[in-house]
Amino acid sequence: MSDNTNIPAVTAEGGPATADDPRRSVLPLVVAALVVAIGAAAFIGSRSLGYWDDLGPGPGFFPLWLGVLLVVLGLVWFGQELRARLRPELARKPAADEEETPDYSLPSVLAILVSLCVLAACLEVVGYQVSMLVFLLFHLLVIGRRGPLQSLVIAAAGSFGVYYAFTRLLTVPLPVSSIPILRDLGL
Amino acid sequence: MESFTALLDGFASALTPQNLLFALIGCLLGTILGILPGIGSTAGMAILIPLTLTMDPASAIIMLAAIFYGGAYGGTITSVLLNIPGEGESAITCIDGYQMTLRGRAGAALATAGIGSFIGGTIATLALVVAAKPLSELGLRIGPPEFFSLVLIGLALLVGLVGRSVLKGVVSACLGLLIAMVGIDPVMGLPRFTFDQPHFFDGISYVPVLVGIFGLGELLATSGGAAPKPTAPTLRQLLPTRTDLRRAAPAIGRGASIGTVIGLIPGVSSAISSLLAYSTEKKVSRHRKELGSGAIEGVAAPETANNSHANAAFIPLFTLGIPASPSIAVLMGAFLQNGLTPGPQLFTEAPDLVWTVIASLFVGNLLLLVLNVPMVGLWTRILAIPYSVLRAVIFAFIVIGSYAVNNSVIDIYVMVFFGIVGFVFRQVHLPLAPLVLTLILGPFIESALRESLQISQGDFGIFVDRPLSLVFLLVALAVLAASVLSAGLKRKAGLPTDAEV
Amino acid sequence: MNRAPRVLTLAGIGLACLSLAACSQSGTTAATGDYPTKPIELVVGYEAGGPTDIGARMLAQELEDKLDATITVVNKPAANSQVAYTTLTQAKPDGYTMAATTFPSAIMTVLDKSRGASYERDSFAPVALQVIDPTAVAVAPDSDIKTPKDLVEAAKAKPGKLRATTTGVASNEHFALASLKEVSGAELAPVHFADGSTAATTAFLGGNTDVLLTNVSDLQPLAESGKVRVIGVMDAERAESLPDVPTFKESGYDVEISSSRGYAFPKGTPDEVVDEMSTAIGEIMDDPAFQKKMTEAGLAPSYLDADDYSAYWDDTEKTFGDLFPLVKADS
Repeated sequence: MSDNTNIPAVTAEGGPATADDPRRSVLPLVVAALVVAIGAAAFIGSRSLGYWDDLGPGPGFFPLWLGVLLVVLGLVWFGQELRARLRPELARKPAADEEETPDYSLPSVLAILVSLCVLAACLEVVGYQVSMLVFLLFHLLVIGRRGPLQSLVIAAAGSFGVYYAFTRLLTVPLPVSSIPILRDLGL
Repeated sequence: MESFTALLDGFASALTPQNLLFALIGCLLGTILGILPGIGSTAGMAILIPLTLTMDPASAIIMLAAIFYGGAYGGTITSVLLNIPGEGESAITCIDGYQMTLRGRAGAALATAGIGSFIGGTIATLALVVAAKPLSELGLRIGPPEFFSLVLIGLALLVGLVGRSVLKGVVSACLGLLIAMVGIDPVMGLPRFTFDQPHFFDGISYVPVLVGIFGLGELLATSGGAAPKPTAPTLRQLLPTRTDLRRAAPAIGRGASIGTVIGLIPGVSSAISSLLAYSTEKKVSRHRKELGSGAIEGVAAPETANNSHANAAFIPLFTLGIPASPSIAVLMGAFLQNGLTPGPQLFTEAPDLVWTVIASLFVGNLLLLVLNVPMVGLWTRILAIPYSVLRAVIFAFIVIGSYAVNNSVIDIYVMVFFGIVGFVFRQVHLPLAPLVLTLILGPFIESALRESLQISQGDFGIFVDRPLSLVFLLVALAVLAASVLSAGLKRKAGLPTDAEV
Repeated sequence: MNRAPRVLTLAGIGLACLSLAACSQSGTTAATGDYPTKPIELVVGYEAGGPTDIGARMLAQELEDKLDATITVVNKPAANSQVAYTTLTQAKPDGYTMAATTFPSAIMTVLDKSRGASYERDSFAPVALQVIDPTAVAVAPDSDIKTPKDLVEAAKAKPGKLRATTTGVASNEHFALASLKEVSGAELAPVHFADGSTAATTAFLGGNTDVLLTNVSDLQPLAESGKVRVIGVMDAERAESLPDVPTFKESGYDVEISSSRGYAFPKGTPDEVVDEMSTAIGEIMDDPAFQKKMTEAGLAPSYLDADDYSAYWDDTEKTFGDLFPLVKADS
């Protein structure tokens, strides 16, 4: 297995510090630690499954070794990242295509994730049509800052229109509400 | 030879206006259904079967078959334009396809995919006509041990997919394997890592995972707004250039061979064909260092492979009466409901029907090409929609798609979770391709191993005793050795070992 | 900017949409006070297009006419129907949620404690049986084995050496092998194909196993094309589609294993509702045209009404329950 950090920086790119300059970002460390944790969990979880039976590997065999591998790799990775931060002169300069981490905006990311989870939670409670209507309106009006009429039309199409198309034409059921009043309205 | 004349007769009936119309409807419908992730052509076909009972059997089957391979193309459209895999088989196309879209070359990507699909499908159908029986015998010879060794080749090719950092590539692959292990294990029938949720007994469905990792992950990662957005290509950029086609040609050839061969193996999904085709390109193509950043081969090879596979899957159906995949099983149901039993005796019992259907496979493939290449302009108009609107619609889209797989809200949460995973992967430069490969291949590794050992009663020698299996194993070893050797050679030459040579 | 008019417009349009949606729903028709007055949900625990799903959709189509109601088929494939059963048993017992219940999945998911099913036999109110598909045994056309007796003797001569396909641990075929072993002492080595009977059939045709066990309906096309020789059926009577094949029973081995498909409501559903649905299904199944449609789709029609189905359920549960420890020990 090649070990990339042994190779000293060959290129003389002295670009400005990017978002994932090893000095700044702590995310790779966290992820590496997570990988170790997942590996450990797999290892522990596989202990209760059989390791080997009279015909061959049991259900615990592969997860166990995968867990071991992940733990080892995670630790090595953690070490690499740590070394890059403590001894930056030894770090390999990231190549051109690696420098490009598209920037994300944390508020947007959170808004998206939360809205998706809320949508999922509401789907079977208030039914597809209402949930999707609200969801789309949120994303169009609030996040997308589109005009109200346009947003409403699109949201209506996406909720009622899609519902109609799926349940009538495609006969694929989309969730209806479990609240009786709404259900009787056809939602 | 008499099959040739029979085929010509088949063309005559396949080209009647009525059957042409049905094929057309099928292609369109299939493409639209393929665009919707999670719905797929299988459900669409299943729902339409009762309707087809009132139609003439040949027309019914023609339409259903058209839906089937139309669906394969529909998945490509969303993969390339929106980075959302319509089905497992289009997942790997996301990687290069979407990159091409970001560079304004969406039209070229889609058109090449269409052309490749046509060529791949036609080659596979030709194989059906010419050598159906011997090919199906070949397909049967691939039992669990051979299949296991074949999957090992896939894993060996994985080494080529890891990209710059082998460490990260292997981590990605291991994570994919671990996800694949969730579910009831094939050995003891015990739930494994399922957190007591029956929903996960069959494993984590890979559609929500892929849609999350590719689609949602990308959207999250680019939420800052400064990232390159997919743009609608100009008219001139719509079609592939001559260079494109020249480069795509060998990829198409390789993809078609891989797809046709693997399509013969009953029970194997076309996702495996597209994966293997992509991985092979990574190892073998002249332009392999561009793969991953928008190389046309990365679109041509998997798309050709999955269409070849879809058409080749008809071979076991016609010759043995064995459905190669759930979609074909639905088609088989259509045969049965019309009173026809698929299998070799179908050629003698209802030759007209059989040859009409086969002829319509050719016709349908052509129709797909004719329909979709000009429509590339239409599809790429989707990209002209204002990004904020497009994004909102995509969110709705992926939610519906994830829900529709199992009619379960849990899959939406799975999709969101893997969206986060995909997002994190991008931030720390963990490659996605290895995870996709092991996620799709993973379940087969264990079950093939276990089935082989049950057949051999515990004797591991079965993998080398059986000639085909031995051949595959040797190929896998050769691939591995080649990677190790080339890494060693590079080191000797003083180059960084991750330079692509 | 003044938000109030904006909000009002939104609300107004929203209400308009709601009423539009309400109007577009049929099934909320004139309330006759009788059942059914609302759409009925039929939960199928298998993928769309599979045999259970096809049978359910065919029935649903007829039921819609007979009961003058809308029936929505919802597929919840996962875990051998366990998710579907969980959904059913947690639904309100008002007759508007029904599920396709298949054996052995409905029984096996309860018996196998490791699956942690949240329901049990009493959580179901059986409605009707639709299909019985007995398990049958086949060998290669050129094999030495020609009758069930040959099979038993061959197995006894080489215990644990003859390989037979199943569709997974604790699948129908696995139970069949356990039952055969108990009754005759013949020990075959199971090869589990968790991917389903297609994978099992393919492997068998490729010569990877000696014996193929699967449903009669799956075997019938293969037998017709001469690819397999069916040597025995594990049922009380000979199969209609394979009249020349003896049953294991008549050969002296009392082995009866079938898979079957029926329907059930959650426990607590009013008896009148159960009876009405059961009678409706019975009338549909009596119709020769419908029976023909079913046979063409590869489904062997076999009707039992609610009480008989309930008894059948209990019987089958006992059979599988007795065999279950053997099956678990085997794996």
